[in-house]
Amino acid sequence: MELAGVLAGEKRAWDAFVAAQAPVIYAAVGKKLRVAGHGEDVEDVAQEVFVKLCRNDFKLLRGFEPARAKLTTFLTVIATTTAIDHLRRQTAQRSGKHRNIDDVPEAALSVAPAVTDRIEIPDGLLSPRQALVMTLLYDREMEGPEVAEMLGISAQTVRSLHHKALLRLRAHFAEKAVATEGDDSPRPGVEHHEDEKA
Amino acid sequence: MTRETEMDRELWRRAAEARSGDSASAHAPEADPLLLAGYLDGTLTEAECEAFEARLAAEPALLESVIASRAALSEAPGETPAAVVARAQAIVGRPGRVEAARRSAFFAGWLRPLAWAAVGALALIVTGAGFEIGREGYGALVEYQTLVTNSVAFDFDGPGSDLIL
Repeated sequence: MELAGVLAGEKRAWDAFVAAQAPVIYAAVGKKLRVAGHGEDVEDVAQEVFVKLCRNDFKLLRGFEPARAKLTTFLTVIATTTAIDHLRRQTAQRSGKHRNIDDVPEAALSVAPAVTDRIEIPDGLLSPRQALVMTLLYDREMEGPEVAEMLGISAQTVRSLHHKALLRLRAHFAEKAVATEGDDSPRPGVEHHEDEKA
Repeated sequence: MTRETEMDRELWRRAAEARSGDSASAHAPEADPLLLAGYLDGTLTEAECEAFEARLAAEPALLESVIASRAALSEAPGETPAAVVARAQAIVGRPGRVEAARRSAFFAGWLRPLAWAAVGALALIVTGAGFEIGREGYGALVEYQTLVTNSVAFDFDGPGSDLIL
């Protein structure tokens, strides 16, 4: 795909670019929005992506470097993040419109100080990849093979990273528990933190 | 799920809560799309990859973008409605409009003084021609009047004096 013509503002080059890349952008936007039940917004958000690409004299497209990524991947990322932003805006608008004091849980309205447990984990305890594997497995509730595909590594490597991360976490909290034994702290390894909710 | 797995999950949850209280945010600054695409294509250097994965573990919004982009890339794109393509193509103006704008800019440029000069020259020619025609017309009228006067004078004095003027 020749981007030079597009960046020079040539109409013919732009038309060819749109014809070639619209399926990629439309599919990425559709994938994200349909799953979230916003299929009716796909066309508008796809148009938003193209407007974004033209904005500020094609600033986004000028930032593309073929040596660093494929154009289809680059456009998929832009289309996906635009769809995510759209969903966030929709959610924010809905919550802003329908916020009613009766719908807010009692606990959220409480003015009493809430006590929450906070655990301190030192920087560097886990490698970035170990932390990411833990995040994907526990926060995102992904399966091992899914994590492996996501990170481009084998399922066995995922298991190994998971296992090593757990060993480090357990060892760290075991050490903290020993260190705090005999203290007045009611729960070893746990720092009590008072957070006053307004 | 085994009891050990439950405990590990709880351990990580608490650790994650502590991290989110420190720095992580669901509304982290937008990542460079080229960096994100490079990560997905596997073109980042080892150091870049490590730094990016550290951000992924700490920024849920960024992680969501990566997971969703990866999912989108895993499927082959289908057909796009023609209306979507036409609407997007219309964002950049039609060549006719551009040409017209270029032409008008051309005339607004160096040709404008020439056009004024031509208008001036034409005005001079018209004025000159008008003056010349006017002058010639006056001369002809004087000649005619002279001729008429001479004729009358001749007739008055000559044998045809019965001519009543």
